[in-house]
Amino acid sequence: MNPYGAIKFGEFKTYMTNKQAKLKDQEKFLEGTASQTVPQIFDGLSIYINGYTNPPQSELRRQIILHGGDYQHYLKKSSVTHIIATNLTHAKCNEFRAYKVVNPDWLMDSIKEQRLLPWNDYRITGKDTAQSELHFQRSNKQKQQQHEEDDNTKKPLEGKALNATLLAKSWNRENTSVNPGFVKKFYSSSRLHHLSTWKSEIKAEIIKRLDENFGREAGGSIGKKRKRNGERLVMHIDFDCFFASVGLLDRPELKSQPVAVSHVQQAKTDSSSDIASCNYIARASGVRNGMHVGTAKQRCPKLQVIPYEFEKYRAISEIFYETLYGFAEEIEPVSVDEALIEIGGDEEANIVATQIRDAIREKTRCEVSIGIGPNILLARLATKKAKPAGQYYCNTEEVQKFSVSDLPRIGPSMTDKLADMGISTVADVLRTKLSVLQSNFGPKTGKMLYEFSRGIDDRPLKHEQERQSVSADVNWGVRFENEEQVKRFVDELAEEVTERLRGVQRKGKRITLNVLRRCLDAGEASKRLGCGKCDNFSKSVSLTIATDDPKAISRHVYDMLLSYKFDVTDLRGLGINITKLESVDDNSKVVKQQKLSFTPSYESTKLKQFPTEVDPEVFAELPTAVQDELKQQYKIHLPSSKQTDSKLSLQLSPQKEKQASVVVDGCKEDTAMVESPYSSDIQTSSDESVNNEPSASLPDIPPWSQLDPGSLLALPEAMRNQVLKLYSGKLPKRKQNDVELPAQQQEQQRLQQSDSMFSSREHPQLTKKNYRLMNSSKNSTTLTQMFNTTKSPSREDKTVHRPPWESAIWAELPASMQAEIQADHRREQLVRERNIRNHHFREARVKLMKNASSTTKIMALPLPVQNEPKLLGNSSIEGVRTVLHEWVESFPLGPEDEDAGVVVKFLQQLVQTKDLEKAQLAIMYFYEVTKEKGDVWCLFADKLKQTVSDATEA
Amino acid sequence: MMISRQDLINLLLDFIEVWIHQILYERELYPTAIFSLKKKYDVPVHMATHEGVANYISKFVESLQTLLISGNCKFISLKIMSPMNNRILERFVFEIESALNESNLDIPLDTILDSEVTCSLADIQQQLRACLLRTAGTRSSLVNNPSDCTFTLGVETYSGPPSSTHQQIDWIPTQSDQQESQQHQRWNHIIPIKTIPMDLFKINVFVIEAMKKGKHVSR
Repeated sequence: MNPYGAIKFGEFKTYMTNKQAKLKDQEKFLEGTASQTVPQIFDGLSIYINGYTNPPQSELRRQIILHGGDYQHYLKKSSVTHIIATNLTHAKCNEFRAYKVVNPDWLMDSIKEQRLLPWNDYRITGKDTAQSELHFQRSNKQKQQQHEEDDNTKKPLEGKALNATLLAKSWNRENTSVNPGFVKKFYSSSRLHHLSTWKSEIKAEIIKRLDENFGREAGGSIGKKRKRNGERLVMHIDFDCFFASVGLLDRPELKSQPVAVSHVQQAKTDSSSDIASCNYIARASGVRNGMHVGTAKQRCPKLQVIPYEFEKYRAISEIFYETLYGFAEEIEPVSVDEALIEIGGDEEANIVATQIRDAIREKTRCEVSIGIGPNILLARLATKKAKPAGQYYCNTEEVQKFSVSDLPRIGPSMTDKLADMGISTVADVLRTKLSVLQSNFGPKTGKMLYEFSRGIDDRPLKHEQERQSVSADVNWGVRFENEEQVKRFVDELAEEVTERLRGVQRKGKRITLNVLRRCLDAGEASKRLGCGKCDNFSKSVSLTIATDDPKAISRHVYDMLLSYKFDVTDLRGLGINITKLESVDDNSKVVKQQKLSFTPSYESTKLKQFPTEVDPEVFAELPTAVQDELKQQYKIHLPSSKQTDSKLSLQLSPQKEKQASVVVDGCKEDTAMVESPYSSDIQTSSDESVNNEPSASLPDIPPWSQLDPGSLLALPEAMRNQVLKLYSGKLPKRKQNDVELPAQQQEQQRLQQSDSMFSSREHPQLTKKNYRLMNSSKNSTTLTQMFNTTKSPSREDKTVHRPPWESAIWAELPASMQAEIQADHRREQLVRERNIRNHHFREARVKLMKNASSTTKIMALPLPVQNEPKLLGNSSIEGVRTVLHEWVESFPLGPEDEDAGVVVKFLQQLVQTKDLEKAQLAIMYFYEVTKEKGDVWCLFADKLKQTVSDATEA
Repeated sequence: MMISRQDLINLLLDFIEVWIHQILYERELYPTAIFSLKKKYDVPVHMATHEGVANYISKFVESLQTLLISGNCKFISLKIMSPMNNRILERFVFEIESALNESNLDIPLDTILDSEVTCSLADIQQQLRACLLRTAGTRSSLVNNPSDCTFTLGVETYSGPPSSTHQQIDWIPTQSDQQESQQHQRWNHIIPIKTIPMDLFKINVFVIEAMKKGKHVSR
C-alpha cells in the first residue's frame, strides 16, 4: 500500500500506519547521511523517548538510527526495549515499571565508548528523578573560618547590639528608618533617586515637547515619510562622558585634568560616594564610572571632583534632541545623552554623521560619538569603536571582531557562561550551533546570541517605551528597633510606590518584596548607615486585580516580610517592586472578569422609568435623612410650578403598588381569619424590621389610587379611619393624597396597621356582611369562574382594573388631583397590560401557596386516567402486534368481517385518543405481516390505512 | 426540581413557538437568511429573527395560554398554502388533548395549576426534543412546495371562540379544517410526527400533505 496515497474519512488507523511508514522512510534517509560507517551498537534495540531530554529528542533519534537502533515514535509497549527519559512523574513511573527506563546519558556514553554499556547504571527510578540537589562545595577557606568561629565559640554579631550602638547617636537616629517620614526624606535627598527619575522625566518631557513641535504623534510614526529605498541605517549617538563634559564647559581650566562628577565636594580617599561620570583623562588612569570616589582617588590622585549641575544637563539635552529631530526619520530616546535614530538609506551615512556631530558641537560645545550600522546592534557596537569624539560605520561582517561581552544584553554572568563553553569572541559564537546555544541559554536568548553573532537584529526603533515596572527601594539608613517601626516603614514605602504608580498612571498586578538582611557574620557597614554586607531575599505575590492602593500593597508586603521571620534589627534594606502594569484608564483591562448581566429587578427598572414627581413643600418637610434616601431610590423631580394644595404625589411603580395591594389583601384576610398563619408572618417580619434597617423587599402601603374604594368602604369604621389616617400621613386633615412615606415611617405605620388589625379583631363591628365580603374574596376561583369570558378573570384584576374615577370618593377630590390620578391610572394600565398574563397566574399561585402553607403542600394531583383503547385487552404496541400477527396467521384466506371491525374500531379509537404514533406503528406492522399473505389481506391493510387517515382528517 | 402544571403549560407554549419557527424554516416559507441557529432542548433549531414574523408567532403563542389553561384548545394548525390558488398544500397539526377539558373536574383550577406534574422535566424535554427532530425529518418525506407559499396559523377550539382578555389578539373565525377538507381537499397522506404524553396533556403531532402538489407547481 502506498503510504503517500490519500486516505478516506474515518481511516485513522490507515493514517497512523501511513505516518509511521513515512517516519521510517525519513529514518532511512537519515541513515544514509552517515558520513562514515558507525558501529551498529544499538542493533536490535527498540528505543522510545519520553519527555524532555538533553540532548534533544531529534538529536537522540538521529544517533539511535545512525547506530542501528530502532526509534519508536509511538510507544509500542510490546516491542520497546528501552525508554529514554530524564524525569518521570509518579504516574509514568508506575506505567513504565516493567520497562528499562534509562536516562539519555546511557545513549551518549555508549556512543562515546563505541559499545553498549550496561543500562543498569543509567537506570531511572522514581526516587532518583526527584529534583536533583546542587552540590555546594565549601571552599577550604570557608571551612577554616567556620572552624575558627566554632573554636572561639564566637556568636554571630547581634543585630540588636549593633543597632543599639548605632542609634545611640542622635544624628543617626534622625536619619534612619526609626524616624517616621524617613522614606520621604530619603527620597528627597537621594542622589541616585534624583538622577534616575530626573533622567526619565526629562527624557519624556523633551520628547513630548519636540513631538508637538515637529508634529509627530506620540508613540506613533514620524512626520516625514519614511523612504525605504535603500538599506536601513541606524545611528547611535552618544555624548562622550556627558556629565563630565558639561561640567567642564564652565571650568575650562580643568579640561586637561582628570575630572569626575560626584556629589561629594571634597574628594577624600575614604569617600564612598559613587562617580557618575569621568572624562577620558581620568579613564586613562583606571577610573571608571560607578567607582567609589575613594577608590578613584587612590588610582588617580590628581582627580578633580565636580558637582552635579542638573539644569545645565537639561538644557544641553534639549538642544541635543532638537538637533537630532532635524536629521532623524525615526528616533528612539535612550537617555538624556543618548539616542538612536534611523535615517534615510540613500544618504551618505558618514556625511550625515559628521553633520550631526558638527551641529551638536556648535550648539553645545560638547562632543558626541556616533556609531552607524544597518541595525541597532551594529550601531551600538560601532559606538564603542567611535568613542571618543568620532564616528564609525560597522557592517555585518565586522561584528565578529567584537568580544561577546560587547554585545548588548550580555552581562558578566553570560560572559562567564560563554567562556566556560570556550566562547569569547563573536566569531566563536558564529561557529556554535543554534541548538547548542539554545540548549544552554534557553530558546530566546540562544536565538538572540545566534542572530547577534551574524549581525542580525531586526528590532525596530521604539519611540516610546512602555513602562515595565515601578519600584521603590531603600537600603540606606534602614535600621529598626521594633515591629511598629517596620510596619510604619513599609507603609511609607508603599505610599511612595503608589505615588510613583499614580505618577505614570499605572496599576500593578504583581508585588515583589526585596529584602536586604545583614549577613549574620557582618558587622556595621563601612559606609555610614549603609547596608553593609547583606543577603538578598525576594518574594512576590500576584494579585487578581491590578492595584495602586497603598494599603493593599503595604499589607501584602508586610505579610511577605513577616513570612521570612527575620529579626527586625537585621533588616538593612527593603524594596517594593510593582510589575505587570496596566493602564489606569483602561477599564476593560482592569476588570478582566466579565460582568454577569443580571437583569435588574423589575422593581428597580420600573422605578427608573418613572421619574417621580414630588411636591417640593412636602419634600422639604421631610427629615434630611429621609430626603437623601428618597433621592437615592427615586428619580425625584421637583416641579418648578407649585401645584395647588395637593401635598405630595409620589408615584410608586405599579409593581410596588401591586405588592402593596397584596399586603392589604393579606390584612383583610387577617381580619377575617384570626388564626391565619400569614398574619403571624407579617407580625414577625415587621418586628424584625424594626430592629434592622427597613429592607426594600418589604411591601409598602399602596398609593391611594390603588386602594379599592369598595373594600375600603366595606371595612369596619374604626379600621377605615385607621387606614385613612395612614394615608393622610402627617396631615391631620383627611386629604387623600398619594403618599410615599419614607421607608422607616412606613415601617412604623405598617406596624401600627398590623397592630390595629389585631385590635380590630375584637371589634364588635366586624359584621357578618363584612366577613362574608372579605371571605368571598378568599375563595379560590374555580375553573368556570376563572374563565368566564364576560367577567374579568380574577379578583386581583378587579381591584386593579376598576378606574379610580368610578369610586364615590372621586368627586370629593380636587381637580388637579383627579387629573394626576388619571394620568397615573393610564400609565399603570399600560404596564399592567403587559404583565397581566403572567401576573394573573402568579398571583393565583402565591395565594394558593399561602393557603396551602397552613395545611399541606399540594402534591401531584391525580388526573383522571384515560381509558386507553385496547385490542383484545392489549394496549401496548407489543401486545397489539402479537394479536395482529396471530390474527393474520390464523386466517390465511382473509379477515372475517367481525374481526376486521374490531381492528378498525381499535385504530379509530387510537386516533381519537391522539395516539397516532401507535396507530402508525400498528399499521406498519400490519403491512409487514400481510405482505406475503395475498391480495385480500393487502387490500384490508390499505383499507385500515385509509380508515386511520380519514379518522385523522376528521 | 418540582415543576407545577402551570410551568408545564408554559413549557408547552415555549415548545409550540419553537415548533412553528422550525416548520417555517424547514418548509422554506421564508428566506433562510432571516433564521438564526439556536439551541433548544439540546438540538439545533432555526428561529426567525425577522421582527414581524417573530412577533406574530409569539403573539399567537401568547394568546394560546388562556386556551390551554381552560383546556379549550383542540388543535393548532399551521397551513401552508399554494401561492396561486390558496389551496392548502400541507397542514401541520398540533393536537392537544387536555385533562383540563374533562367536565368531571371539580378541583379548583388554581389548585390544579399549582400541583406538581407527575412526570419529570427531563422526560418531557426528551419528548419535545424528539418531536422537534422528527418535525425536521419530515422534510425528506414531504414533496417540495412551490416557492412563495404562504402560511396561516389557526386554532380549533372545542367550544366557542377563544375568550380573549387581551385587546391585542384579534381572532378571526374561520371554517374548521374538517369542513374545509371535506369540501375541496384531497389528502395524499398523513405523516405522524410524534405522540407525546405529558401529564395534563397528550400531544399528537402530524402533518397532512395534499394530493398532486407537484401538478400545481408545474401549472
